[in-house]
Amino acid sequence: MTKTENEKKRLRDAAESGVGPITEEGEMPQKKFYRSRAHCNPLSHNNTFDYPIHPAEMDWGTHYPAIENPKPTVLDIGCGFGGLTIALATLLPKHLILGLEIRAKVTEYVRLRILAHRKENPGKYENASVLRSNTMKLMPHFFEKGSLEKIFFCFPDPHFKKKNHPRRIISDRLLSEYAYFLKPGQGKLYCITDVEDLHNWHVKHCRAHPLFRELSKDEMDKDSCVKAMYSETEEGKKVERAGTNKYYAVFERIESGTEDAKKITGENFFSQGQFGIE
Amino acid sequence: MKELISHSGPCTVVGLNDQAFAAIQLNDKVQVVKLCPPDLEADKNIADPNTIQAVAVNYIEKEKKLQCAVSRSSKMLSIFNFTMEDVGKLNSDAKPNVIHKLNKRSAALTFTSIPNEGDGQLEIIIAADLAGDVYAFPTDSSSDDKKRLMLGHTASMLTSIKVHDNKIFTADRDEKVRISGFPNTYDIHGFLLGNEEYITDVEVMQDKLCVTTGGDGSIRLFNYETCQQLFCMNQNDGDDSKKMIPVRVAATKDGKMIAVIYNEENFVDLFHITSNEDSYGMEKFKSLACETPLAITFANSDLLVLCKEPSYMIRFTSNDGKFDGTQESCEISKKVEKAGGESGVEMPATILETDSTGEIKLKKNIKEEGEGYVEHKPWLNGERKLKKKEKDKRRKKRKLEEKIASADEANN
Ligand SMILES: C[S@@+](CC[C@H](N)C(=O)[O-])C[C@H]1O[C@@H](n2cnc3c(N)ncnc32)[C@H](O)[C@@H]1O
Repeated sequence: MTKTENEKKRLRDAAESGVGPITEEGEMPQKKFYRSRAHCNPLSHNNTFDYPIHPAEMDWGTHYPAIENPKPTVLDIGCGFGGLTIALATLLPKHLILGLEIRAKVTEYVRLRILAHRKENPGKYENASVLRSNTMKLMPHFFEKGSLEKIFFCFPDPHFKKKNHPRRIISDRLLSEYAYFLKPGQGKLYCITDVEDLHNWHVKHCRAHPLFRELSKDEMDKDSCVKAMYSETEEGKKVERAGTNKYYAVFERIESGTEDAKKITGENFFSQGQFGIE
Repeated sequence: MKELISHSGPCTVVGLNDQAFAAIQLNDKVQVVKLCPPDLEADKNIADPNTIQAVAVNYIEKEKKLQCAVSRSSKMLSIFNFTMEDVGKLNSDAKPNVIHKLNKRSAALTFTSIPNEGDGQLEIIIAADLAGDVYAFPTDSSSDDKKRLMLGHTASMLTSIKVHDNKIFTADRDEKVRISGFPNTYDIHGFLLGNEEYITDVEVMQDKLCVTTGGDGSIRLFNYETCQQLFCMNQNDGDDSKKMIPVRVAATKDGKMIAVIYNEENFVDLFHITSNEDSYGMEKFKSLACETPLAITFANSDLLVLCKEPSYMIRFTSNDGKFDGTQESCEISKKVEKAGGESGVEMPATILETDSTGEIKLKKNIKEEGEGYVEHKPWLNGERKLKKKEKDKRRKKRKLEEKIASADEANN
């Protein structure tokens, strides 16, 4: 089903049910109606999502109706209730921000929240939108090579058990995909968590990936996005209230071919320190 | 998916249900060697642990060496190393020289090599598995426990793998072929998109061309440098009940011709790849009859087809690319037939796995309920809000009554 068909069906359903949706578009949604099971299995094959076959076929116009030829350049992956997505809209007015969220109800909440912000602040928040998707599987259908400036991972699900580590949203395997979407020499990957072990995992895997360079403390301090990521997400605020620590890091996508990873040769192929060696 | 035939130099390896054979052409005869499973005890929870998932062979011309690989349901990957000198003296049974235990079953294997800084090169075997991961392993016995994760398609399953032109091609059960650098697999070159269901095979050719086959019934030609689809063909007319699913594709060395087999059909299709100026096409010029083909490969210019019945392997002779249907009863197929016959091999009818209801496992099984289903939209149900309002009202009323009651009590 296409986007517009979906939208039509939505309106039809709403009309048929007689009482309409819980929140009318433009009205600020209440969180309590959109809470959802805490976890979905991102590795499931049988969930359905709407997605185009090819990124060129994606109609971003319905997401950013006020903007000509829109294409998102900043992603808030696992955006949850959308605090950062919305904060980035005013912090980065020249960029198009897209929150990505796997849970349907939560996504709908963010969609309505953005619409309400747009209505309250005419001309603003036109550069923010949200999309329900499983980013661990579907990003190649939405985004083209080198098209992204920033990707945020804020307080991702920690998946503590070793058995569930493959579900973590930052991994050797997925970092290669993120590197593919980020603009070489410019694109940045941001990650923050309150789980120290998970932070160590993030840093270890990003450092081990030949196409990422870690930003120094100084560089991070100069980046206003770091501040936003630190304080604007719902999870971040929860952590603040609990008074526990937040750990973060930022990595830059370097140009392919400039990686200082030693040339891969027959002699070092299975050696420690190479990508993909435990 | 299963990959049941592989050809390189003088050797053809076939997987006949739970037995693998290498047929090697020597000067004056064909030597058939059975590639035995490892002696290790297999996991008892695995049904039919010896069922062959994939085979591969690699002839190293310079050293006159042969390497064969067999992956089985037991998740054991066995490697057999022979020198051509030894082959004539071999017993009919060969034990693996190297065994790698895989995390997941692998239904796609390929041999390749990494150039050394100094002389020579490192030979490796690459296994693509059912969890979407690709691992490289050494092929010699000096380094049994070494492995390297090359890449992974998160939350998918890999059905085919090729290494070509400093690139590695991995096809998955979703709709994607990923092309990564090789050996710098962390640098993704691009994705081939267009398929609408699981991909069954990918074949890579000269002139930056490659072909995919898939569960949507399509055969697609791509330029792998630009990742553009050049041509798409689907011989189905939308009637799903008799859908022809292409399951394997093989190309000739010059890339001018491809052969395609379909799930549970009785022929092999041959297509010419046509090109003029900037437009490409595929023209079917032959359908060759054969009983339930399971695997295909070109050997020099002839076509080898592994079939369910009755003689396992058929060789269609090229006759200068005409493929007029001549089936050569070649020495290799006779030997394979004899070996298979002697051990009473029962061939599968399909290389696509099905579940207990007969559904193809690679296909998405979408439940029309729950959070995963697109059409499930609880937020459109405004009644929930009304109900909540009424509940709140009732609660308020109750609270008020309680208050009044306690006030009354206090007054009394
Ligand atoms: C703990 S929440 C953090 C939410 C938000 N970033 C914040 O800081 O408030 C993690 C979110 O990631 C979402 N998520 C998990 N896996 C995902 C995936 N594969 N694709 C998209 N979203 C995902 C979850 O549904 C959840 O809402």
